Amino acid sequence: MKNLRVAIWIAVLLSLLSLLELSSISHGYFVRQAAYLGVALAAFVITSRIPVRFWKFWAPVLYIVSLLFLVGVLFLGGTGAKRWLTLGPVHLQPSELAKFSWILLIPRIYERYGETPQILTAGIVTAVPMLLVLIEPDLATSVTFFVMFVMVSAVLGRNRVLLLYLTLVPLAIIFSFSPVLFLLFIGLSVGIVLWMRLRAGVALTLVFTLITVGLLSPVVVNKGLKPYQRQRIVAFLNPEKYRTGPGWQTLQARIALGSGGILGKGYKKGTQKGLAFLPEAHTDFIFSSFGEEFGLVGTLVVIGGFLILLFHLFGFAESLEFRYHRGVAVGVAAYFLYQSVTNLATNVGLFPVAGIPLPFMTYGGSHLLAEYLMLGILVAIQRREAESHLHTTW
Amino acid sequence: MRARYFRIAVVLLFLPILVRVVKYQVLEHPRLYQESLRNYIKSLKLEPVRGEILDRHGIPIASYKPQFKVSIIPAKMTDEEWALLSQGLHLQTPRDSFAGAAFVTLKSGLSIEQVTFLEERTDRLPWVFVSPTTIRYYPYGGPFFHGIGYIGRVTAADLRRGYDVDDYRGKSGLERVFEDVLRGQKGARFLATDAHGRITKLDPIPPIPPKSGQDLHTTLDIALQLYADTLFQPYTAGAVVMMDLRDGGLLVLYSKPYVDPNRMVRGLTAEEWRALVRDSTHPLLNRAVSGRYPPGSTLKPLIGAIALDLGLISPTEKLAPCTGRFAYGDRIWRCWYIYGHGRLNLYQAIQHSCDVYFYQVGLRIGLRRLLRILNRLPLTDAWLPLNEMRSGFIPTLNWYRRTYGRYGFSEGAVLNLAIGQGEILLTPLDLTVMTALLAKGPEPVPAPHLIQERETAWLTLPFANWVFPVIRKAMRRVVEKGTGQAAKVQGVPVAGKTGTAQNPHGKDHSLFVAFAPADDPEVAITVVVENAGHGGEVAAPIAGKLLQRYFQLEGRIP
Repeated sequence: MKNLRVAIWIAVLLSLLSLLELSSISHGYFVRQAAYLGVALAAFVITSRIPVRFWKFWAPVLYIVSLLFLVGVLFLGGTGAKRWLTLGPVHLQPSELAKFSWILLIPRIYERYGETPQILTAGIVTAVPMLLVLIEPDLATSVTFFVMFVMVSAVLGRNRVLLLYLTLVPLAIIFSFSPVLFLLFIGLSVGIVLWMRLRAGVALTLVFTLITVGLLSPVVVNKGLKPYQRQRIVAFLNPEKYRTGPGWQTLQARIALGSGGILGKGYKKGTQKGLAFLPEAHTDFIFSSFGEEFGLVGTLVVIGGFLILLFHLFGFAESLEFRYHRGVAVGVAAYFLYQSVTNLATNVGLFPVAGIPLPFMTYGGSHLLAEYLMLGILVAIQRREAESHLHTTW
Repeated sequence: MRARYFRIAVVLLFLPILVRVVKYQVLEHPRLYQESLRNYIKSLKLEPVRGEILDRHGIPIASYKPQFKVSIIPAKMTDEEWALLSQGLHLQTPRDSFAGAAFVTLKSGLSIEQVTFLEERTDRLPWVFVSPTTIRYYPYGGPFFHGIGYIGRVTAADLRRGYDVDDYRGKSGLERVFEDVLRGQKGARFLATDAHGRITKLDPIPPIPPKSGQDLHTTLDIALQLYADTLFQPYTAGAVVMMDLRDGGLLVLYSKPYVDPNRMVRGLTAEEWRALVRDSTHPLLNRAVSGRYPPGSTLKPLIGAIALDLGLISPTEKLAPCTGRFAYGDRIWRCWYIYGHGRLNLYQAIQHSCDVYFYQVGLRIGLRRLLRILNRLPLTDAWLPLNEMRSGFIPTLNWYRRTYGRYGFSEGAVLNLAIGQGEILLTPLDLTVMTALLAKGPEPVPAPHLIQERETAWLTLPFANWVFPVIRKAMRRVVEKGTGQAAKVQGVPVAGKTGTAQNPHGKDHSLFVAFAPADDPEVAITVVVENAGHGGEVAAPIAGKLLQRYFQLEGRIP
C-alpha cells in the first residue's frame, strides 16, 4: 500500500503558498484564510481519527442533508446565482458538502447491489445533486459530479456498456457545439468501441444514439444555456475582442501570468491584482496572480505539486484492497483532478471562466474544509487497510 | 479498470496547461509585460513649443506667447477645495463631470489675476497645478495672413493622424505645409495609478521631455511687407509680390483683404466662419499666388520679345500708324489712346503701351504660334508648395476648340491675347516671374520661393540673347518718359510696364510690373490693385515707393 505522506505535505505546501499570495493581495484575505486553514487542519486531524465505517454508515444521511441544503439554497440563496447558504456567521457552499457526501455514498452502492441496478442507482444518486447544482446555476460544479461518477464507475462498475452510454451521451451534447469537434468525438467513440471489442449490434446502437443526441442537442443548448453562460463561452473564444466584457478577466489573467516572466515581479510587486484588472485575483485567478509575482518558477512549483499529488492519490487508490476504500480514494482523486485542471485551464485561457476553486489555493473556507476532510478520510482509510495487513505506516 | 490508468489522463490534461504557462511566461513575456505596464501607468502629454516662422532677418512673424493653464487631479480634491477653485476661476462646471479622470487640464489662458489667486493658495489647493504653456501668436497679424497662414483646432479627421483633441495644427499657408517641421514632438510625464485610476506615484519612469518644433526661416522682409500694407490703405483689394532676383527669395507676398490670424487661433464661431466664407471680397483668397488676373498691357514686353525672337519685327521698324482704331475681321479694335499714337517702333509702342502696334504684332505671330510659344514658356507653375497655390491659365488651341467649338473663334483672338486681354490669366506671382525672366535674360533666374533654401530650379526664356536688352531698354523708357513715370525712384533706374486689366465686374484692375536697378536688376515687383483704374496711376506709384524703400533699407539711397 502506498504512503499518503507526500500527498499531505504537498497539500500543506500549496495551502501555504496560497497564504503567501493572499498576504500579498490583501492582509484581510490572509488573516481569514489562515483561520480557515486552521479549522480545516483541525478537521483533518479529527477525521483521520474517525473510523471509516462511521462515514460509510452515515453517508446516506449526509447525502440527504446535502440535498436539503441544495434545495434550501435555491430558495434562500438570494438573487442571481444561488450558490451560497448563510447560517449565522458562516457562509456555506452546499455543493461542496454534496460532493463530499457523494464521494462517501457512491462506493457503498457499488459494494452492495447487483450488476446492472448498481450503475443505474449510482447514476440516479449522481443525477439528483447534479441537477440541483445545475439550476443554481453552476454548470461547472455539476460537471464535477459527472466526472467523479465516470471515474469511480470505471474503477468499480462492471457494466461497461452502460457506463459508456452514461459517459458518452453527455459528452455528445457538449461536443455538438462545434461540428468539427463533434465529428472528432464520434471518431473517438468509434475507436473506443472497437478497442473494447463490443458486439456489433451493441456498438452500432451506441454510435447511432450518440449521433442522434448530438444532432438534437443544439436545440437543447440554445434553449437551455443561460445567456451569461453562452456569453462566457463566446468571450472565452475571443478574449481580445471582449476587452471590457466577460473576456476581460481571461485577458487580464493572461497579462498577469505573462508579465511575471521566469522569475516573477516579486512578492507584493504584482500590479494586476488590483480590483479592476484582475477582480478575482484571490479566488478564480489566484494562480495567475501567483504567477505574476513568482514567475515560471512559482507556477511550475504549483503545477508540479498538483501533478505529484494526483499521481500519489491515484497510486494510493490502486493499492487499496477494499472496494469501498478504493471507490472513495478514486472519488477524492477525481475531485482534485477535475477541480485543479478546470481552474488551471481557466487561468491559462484554455477554459471559460467557470468559478471552480483551485484546491488548497483559492480563497474560501468551504472548499478548503471539504478538501482537508477528504484527505483526513483517506488517512483513516490508510490506517484501516494497514490494520488489515497488521502493520502500520502512518 | 485500474485506478492508476488515470495517471495517463492526469498527464494528458496537465500537458496543455504546462505548455500555455511556458508560452505566456517565457515566449510572450515581453509583450505581456508591456501590457501590464500600460495597465497602470498613465501618461500626461507635455506640449512642445511650436517652431517660429521668421523673416529674412530672423524677426518672428509667427511666434508664441506664454500663457498659464491650470490642471487638477479631480479624485484627490475635496468639495471645499473645489468650491474655492470654482470661485477663483469663475467656473460653472460641476466637479462630477471630471469623475474618473486621472489628470485633466481645466482651463488654459488664465489671466494674471487668476494665476495670482491660485499661486497665493497653493497650500490650500494641493492638487491644483498651474503650469506655463504656449499659444501661437502673430505679432503683425493680418498683413502676413496670406502666405504664413494660421493654425486652428484639429478636426475629427486629424485625430486619426496622431493628433489629440485639444491640439492645434496648421490650416493654411506655411503653417500648414511645414506642419511637421513646426509642430515638434510631444513629451510625456507618467503617473502610476491603481485599478480605480487613483494616482499612487508620480514619475514611476522618467518623463520624456517634449521636443520643440524647428524654426522656419522665410525670405520675407517684414519692413517691406508692412510698408506694402500701408500703401494699400486706400484700396480694398490687391496684391504685391516682390522677388529677389539673386536667389529667388520672395521679399513681399502680400494680399489684401486678409483676416487677423490671431483671431483664427482663438477660434471662430460657426456664424463668424460663415460670414468670412461668404464675404464678397474673399478675404481667405491669397491673391498673390492664386488670384488670376488678365495681365493686360504688362504682357506686351513678352509679346514683343517673342516677335523679335521670331524675326517678325525689328526693334526700330515702324509698323502701320495707330489711329486709335484697327480694323480686323468684321469689327473695329480700339487703342486705349483714342486719338492714336501715330507711327511707332517697338520702343515707342511699349513706352506708350500702344494697342494697335501689338495688334499687328499679334497678327504677325498668329494665334496658333502664339499659343504654342506661350504654353512653352515657364510662366505658370505651382511655384510655391502652398496648398492655396493656383497658378495662372494660358489657353491652348484645343482649349479654344473645346470651349467655343471649332468655328466659334477666329484668328482675331490673337489680337486680344497680344494686349494681354481675353482668355489668358496670370497671378501676381506669375507676373513677377515673367518680369524677372525679362529682367535677367538670357541669364537664368532662380525660381521663386518663400523658404531660405540652398537649392532651387533655374528658369530662362528661350529667346536669342540680343532680344532681352531691347525689351529692357523699352521697359526703362516706360518709367523714364512713358506710362509708368509714377514708379520713378530717385537715384535708381527703374524699368517697368503698366497694365490695365479689363474687369467685367467693375472698374479696371490696375497692374504694374517692374524691376530695378534697370541696368543690373536685383528685384522684380508686381503690384495689382483691384478696381482702381489705370496701372500707371495707382499700381505704379505703389511699386515705386516699395522699390525706393527696398533700396533705402539696403542703404543704397538716402
